[in-house]
Amino acid sequence: MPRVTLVESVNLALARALADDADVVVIGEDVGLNGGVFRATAGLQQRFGKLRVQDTPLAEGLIGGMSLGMAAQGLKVVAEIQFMGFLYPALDQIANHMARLRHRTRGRLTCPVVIRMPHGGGIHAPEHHSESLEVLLCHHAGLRVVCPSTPAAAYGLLLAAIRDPDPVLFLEPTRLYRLAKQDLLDDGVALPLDKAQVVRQGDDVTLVSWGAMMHETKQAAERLVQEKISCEVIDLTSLSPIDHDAILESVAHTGRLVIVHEAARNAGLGAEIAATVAERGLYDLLAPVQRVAGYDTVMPYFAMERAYIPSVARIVDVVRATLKA
Amino acid sequence: MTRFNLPDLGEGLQEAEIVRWHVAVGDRVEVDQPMVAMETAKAVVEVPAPFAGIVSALHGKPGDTIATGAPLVDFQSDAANDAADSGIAQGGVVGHMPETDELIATDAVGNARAAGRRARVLPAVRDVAQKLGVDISALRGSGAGGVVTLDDVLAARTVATYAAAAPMAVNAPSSMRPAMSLTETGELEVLRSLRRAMAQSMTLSRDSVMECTVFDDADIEGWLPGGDYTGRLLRAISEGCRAEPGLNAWFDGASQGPPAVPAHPRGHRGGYARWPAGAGDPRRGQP
Repeated sequence: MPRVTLVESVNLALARALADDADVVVIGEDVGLNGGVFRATAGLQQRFGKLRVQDTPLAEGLIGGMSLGMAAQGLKVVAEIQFMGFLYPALDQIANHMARLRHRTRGRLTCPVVIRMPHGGGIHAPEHHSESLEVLLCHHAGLRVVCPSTPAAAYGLLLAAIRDPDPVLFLEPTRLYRLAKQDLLDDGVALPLDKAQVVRQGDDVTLVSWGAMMHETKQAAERLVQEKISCEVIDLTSLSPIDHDAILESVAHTGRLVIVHEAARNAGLGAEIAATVAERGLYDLLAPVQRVAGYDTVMPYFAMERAYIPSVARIVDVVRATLKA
Repeated sequence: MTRFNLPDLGEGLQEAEIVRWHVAVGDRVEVDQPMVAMETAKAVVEVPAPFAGIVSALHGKPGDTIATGAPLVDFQSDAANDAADSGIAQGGVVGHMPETDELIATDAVGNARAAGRRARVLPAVRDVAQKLGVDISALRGSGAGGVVTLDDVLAARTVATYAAAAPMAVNAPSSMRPAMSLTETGELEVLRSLRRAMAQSMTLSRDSVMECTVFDDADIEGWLPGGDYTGRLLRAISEGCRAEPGLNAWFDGASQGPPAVPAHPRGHRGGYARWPAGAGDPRRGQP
């Protein structure tokens, strides 16, 4: 069983999909000859040829439109946006067309596109390289938004996303690309696209997070054990649709909820989760729902990154306060 | 010595030109401190120090073009293991990709857990229950889906107080309770919430408090019209109690005597107000 990083698991899943299905096409800036700025597509063009793995011009609007057209004609497109901050020019194609193709044609056409992109900061990159813009996508009906936090999840979910007939936005946590390894069987088995994962069971408080923030969230849960605080940790994984039932079931047990995300607090996905718990789980709450999030400001550049991204200490402080409420 | 090579400053850029150095040989730099401004095909970019140390060589002067991956700065680094590569081996990405030896366990955590659910209750009601000392886990909620309501908590509070203060009354045999039939009374109204609590409190008070009423006449002709009659009346009653301490005495039902204990050192007066939804202490406001 190979021991792989998250970016290597993405590469394995792409290779598996290209090998299994002749309709799968990989496109994007530098994905071919170069192998991707993060090496996610390394070796794929050499193995599958220039028709299956295509370099595009530096034009995200074109990548969106090209993916849409190819998908409407029956191909299964896996496009890469180099960083999530570069997504904006493609949003028109994604929100106004990809998300609506099934609806507009009354189910005659679907849009089997996966758009992969690095999500979040923490790698000391300059402006536009560290964005967490998931809510922009989650707000649109017709799109799935997925954000794995482990190599195994990335592998199984990317395969599921490619096999899904509808557009899937696949957010890859940049900071975790090479941070850790996991033993992974390259068996082509997909994971369910709309399920959250309980990654740690606990009794006192539920922590919900996704993507790179799972790293700090799990560390916070570990640190709180020393204070006899037992955290249940949920990896949301699917950002749209949200597996609300998994969260509500956990909150019914623990009575407390802290949501951790790197994106800005204002109108972040944490607000949607908190609102749903207020609607459907209020009777189970022992304390107000809390959010630990990025600040409502531009994501700062490398030197101030650590101050912006929620730290283990910030999560621990909020959990402590929640237990005193 | 640690060598820092020019990283790719913009995903796929081949080279960059030195605009100006911010550091000189011999300078001490900290992590993230800007070292040099480099102009690429895209923009002028400040290149930060990848680690702390002392600059031992600068590879180029302003105007020189440096190829991506070529030497840029040499350091006497504080720690050799700080000398992360400049990104080339990790791909052409701008920035630094963290790597550790962490191995993520593959074992899944089951979602199943033992049955047994906490009482479902609004936070505000839970708060009231806590203040009143009512254990909501012992209540059977009457709300939708078994939710414990405010009524449930108030009723539990009253019953608990009643049972503690007057066990005999609660446990009295049914023969001692007044018998009544619907034919005599007509349709009975079922008391709810505050009115039910009030009825139970009044029953409790009748059982535990000796009622005594004193009537007297007073000439208030001298009181000016429009004055604060309530205040004056209360002051008059206070004076009366001072003159006759027995009026301010109380009966201890628990010890059953003496019938009148010595006068209470402070005067106590109760108030009573009526509203459509019920009656009670005016200091608490309308229910």
